[in-house]
Amino acid sequence: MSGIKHIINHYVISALTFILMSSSLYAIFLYAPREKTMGDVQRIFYFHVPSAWVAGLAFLVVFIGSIMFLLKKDLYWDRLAYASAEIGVIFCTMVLITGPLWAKPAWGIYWPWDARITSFLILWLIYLGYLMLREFSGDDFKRASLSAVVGIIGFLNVPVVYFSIRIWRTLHPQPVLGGGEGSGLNPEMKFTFFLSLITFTFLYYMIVRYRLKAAETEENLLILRKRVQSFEV
Amino acid sequence: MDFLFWAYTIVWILLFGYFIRLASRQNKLLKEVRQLQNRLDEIEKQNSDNS
Repeated sequence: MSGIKHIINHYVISALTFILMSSSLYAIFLYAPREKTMGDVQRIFYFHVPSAWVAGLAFLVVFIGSIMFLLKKDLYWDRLAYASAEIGVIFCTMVLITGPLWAKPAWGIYWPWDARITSFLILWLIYLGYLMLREFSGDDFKRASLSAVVGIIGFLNVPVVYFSIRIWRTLHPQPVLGGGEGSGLNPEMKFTFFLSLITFTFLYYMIVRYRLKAAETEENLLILRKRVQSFEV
Repeated sequence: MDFLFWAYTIVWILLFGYFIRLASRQNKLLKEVRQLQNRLDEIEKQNSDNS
């Protein structure tokens, strides 16, 4: 039974992610219509927003993993939080790169220091700090405890980023879905957007599983090293 | 179109770079696990021969 579970988890999820990635690319470049005002550059939106969604999801997992570690003192939760933080930073970087590449043709500048963009940059820096902290702190439990505190406090910035465009006046576009009057997407664009969102979520799940497996191998390696050392000394 | 091209190119490079880094790290770890496992087997064999 566990063999079937492994096949479903590994091969089926990987194949599904690959099919979804190919379908998303087709939908983004060939199915979704050209936006009237911005033209083709609007297609960046189909990667930019799902990347931001995955970054938020990844940091939510860091938050949950950190709380669970502090409650249960089980290193599995710390490994999950670490894996998720690393992936979150990668997707955050993608948002910070694709955003300015959309902003330049749309607003004429790459980087306006408005509330959404600045708070997102701060989010990226917080989790970059989280990853650096893990490299420099001491033993497993001390490192996990310190990281958990940063993982919990750092997540407080996620709602600030999300609501920044509603609270402050910003250059950043208002939400296209549920953003009020005049907002919204046509059906083809909406389909492409949601397909991209699902694809990125699968991609996140796939990477987090792979990253967790690497962390488990790393732990096995430490156990083996200790055993060999105990024999050799 | 230039901006769209660069946005997608950078995203793909970043993703593939990360995948390659993950895969090479995993391979390196597995290689070390195998080496240590072999060393451990040798030690255990030596110990059983001595006893």
